[in-house]
Amino acid sequence: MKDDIDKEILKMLEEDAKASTEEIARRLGVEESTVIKRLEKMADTRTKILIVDDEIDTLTPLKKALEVEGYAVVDAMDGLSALEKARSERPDLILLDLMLPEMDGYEVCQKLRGDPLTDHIPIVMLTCVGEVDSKVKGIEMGADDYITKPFNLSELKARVKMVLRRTV
Amino acid sequence: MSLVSRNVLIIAISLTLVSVVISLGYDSHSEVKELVQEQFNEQQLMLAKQAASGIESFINERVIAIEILAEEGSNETPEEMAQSFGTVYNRTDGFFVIEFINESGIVVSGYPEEEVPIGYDLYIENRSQAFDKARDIKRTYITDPVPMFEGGLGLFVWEPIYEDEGFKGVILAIIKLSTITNYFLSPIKSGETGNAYMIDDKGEVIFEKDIGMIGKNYIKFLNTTNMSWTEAMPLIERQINGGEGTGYYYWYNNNNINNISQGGTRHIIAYAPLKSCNQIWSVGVRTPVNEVDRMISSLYIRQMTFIFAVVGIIISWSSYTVVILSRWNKSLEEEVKTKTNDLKQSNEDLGEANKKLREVDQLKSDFISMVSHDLKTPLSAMRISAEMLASSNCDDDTEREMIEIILRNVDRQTILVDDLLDISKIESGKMELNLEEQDIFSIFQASIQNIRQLADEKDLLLNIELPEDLPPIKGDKERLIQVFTNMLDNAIKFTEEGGVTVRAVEMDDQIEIRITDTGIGIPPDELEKIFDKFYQSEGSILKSGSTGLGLAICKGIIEAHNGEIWADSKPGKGSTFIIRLDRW
Repeated sequence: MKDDIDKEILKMLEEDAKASTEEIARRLGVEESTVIKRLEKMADTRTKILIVDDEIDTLTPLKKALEVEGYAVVDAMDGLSALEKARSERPDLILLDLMLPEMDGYEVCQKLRGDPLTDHIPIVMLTCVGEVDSKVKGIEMGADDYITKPFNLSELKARVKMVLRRTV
Repeated sequence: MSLVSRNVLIIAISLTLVSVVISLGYDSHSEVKELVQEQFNEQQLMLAKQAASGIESFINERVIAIEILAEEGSNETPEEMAQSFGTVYNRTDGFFVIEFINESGIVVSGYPEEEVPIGYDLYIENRSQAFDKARDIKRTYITDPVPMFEGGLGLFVWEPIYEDEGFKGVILAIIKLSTITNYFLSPIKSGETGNAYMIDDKGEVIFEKDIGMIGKNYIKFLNTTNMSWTEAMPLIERQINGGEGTGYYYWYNNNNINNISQGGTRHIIAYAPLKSCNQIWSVGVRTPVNEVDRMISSLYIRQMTFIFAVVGIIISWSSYTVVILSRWNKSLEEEVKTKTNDLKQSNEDLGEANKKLREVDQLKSDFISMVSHDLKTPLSAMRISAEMLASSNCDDDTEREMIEIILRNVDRQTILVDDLLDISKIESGKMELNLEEQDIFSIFQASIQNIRQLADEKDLLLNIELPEDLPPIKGDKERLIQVFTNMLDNAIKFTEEGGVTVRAVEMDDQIEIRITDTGIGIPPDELEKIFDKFYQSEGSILKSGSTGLGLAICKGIIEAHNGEIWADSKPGKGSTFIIRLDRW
């Protein structure tokens, strides 16, 4: 839906580069604010990171820290919304917590890898489980890197950068 | 091969075997019968021969005695002769009388005197035939047995006396035939079926068990009967001709001549001749043929008895063995069964134990990962927040937010650590309780203080409906407040409308406390798990913000009080937690 709106907006702008947001909104039958938001989003060229964690207290500072670093950050607090966000937001990287309610990180990882829309997005697993076999399992499931909690923020940043460099 | 056709085959084989055995038995029976008959016939013949030779020597002995008397009498007076006769008469038996008849046929002397008809003239009486014969042939002459005045048959032995070619007279000795037959023939077959008889060379009956027959002629007798004597005639003829052997003919039963018309039974006859001077006689031994059958059957009976006894012994011994073996087998089987069952049981027990161990192991690793997760999560939140604070590019709002996160997670960590310490105490049995007399009402009052705000926020009713005269309980005040606070806290957390009610009833030696809410309830399959460590209903971390150890700690504390705790719930309607504690 959102993709469709984006395409429509782009199409109209191609036809008439000077078309106002108001006009576009009217022609598409949506609010002007929506069009403005979409345009802002499309204009946002920052690297986008999706953080998936069910702990709000982990999520909040992490989000802030990454935003400070100049990343666009979207978040999800469970597996299903993580899959949804991954498809709609097309993040450049996903920080995926392993311990999630209902659908755990492994499963989310597997699903992301099974979907052609998301299978290219690099995934960094975040978890408290420090055992080797869960690392191996995570890598097997398609994770690109692995960071155990509690992690050093600068280490996380470095890893994110490294993974992004590798894939871009 | 099917079971039925196999059975048929077995039956056919056994029937064949049985018929073979029967035909072999029948064959051997006729062989045995033949053999026995042969033996029997020989034995009968021996009997006849013995009797014949016995009679022959008896008569011959007496004839020789008379011959000696005649030798001596050639130069003796009649009186001297009578004296010699007496000697012989008294020394031997069987003589009826011995008398001397002079050359002119007149009885002169004899012994015993009372039987001697002195002066009896043979010529006058016209009975000189035998006298003349003996004189003419100059040796012993025996006349055919004749009936005597005294009864029975008498055998007349005529012995001529010559003195230097001069005829002096004749010694006549009369032998009572009854003496001979009593000696030799009557004992044969006495007390048995069958009998002995004796005929002379003209077929005259000299002896027969049926006395009425004596003196009759056999051949004439046979011709007058209705019976089939065709078999008998040639045999009698052979007897008359001095033959010996065995043969068969029909004879009446029970020696009763009147039965003769009723048929008769087949008899076996063994016959042997005897000869004395000019007399030729024949002794016959007559036995019913069925006697042989009787012998055979008695033989069979004895044999069968023996066989049955042996077979019986063998069968009983073998069945005893079979019974013992089968019993042994059975007991062995039972033992094997028992042992197998034992083994199976212990295998199952081991499997069960193994499963439990694995479960325990799983629980342990689950516990470890839970603990590490729950400990590390607030730590990582604090760490990230602190690092954010440490970095200079932080606005005031963010700063405040980060500090709040840090404080909140410190509290959370503290609660978790407290809970873990409690669990550890409970599990190691080191929970120290300060047991005192406690009033339930005041414990609830203290507990409510802790959750009042939460209840008010959700606009929930708190009903404490405790009876006024509720007896005190035995408990640790702090710990019980901890438990009831937790219970009330849970009840409020999972209830959006209605309220929480606390009731209590007095039991025998316990008090039952029921905490009922009108919340979301607990699914039946989770009722058992809610007291497990780190149990969380789906998404309850977000809602409750608890550690998942609360109910496990409550259970541990209540059980340390020797109490019980369990839950009852209807999903959608609410839950009731029931706690039983000992009275003071």
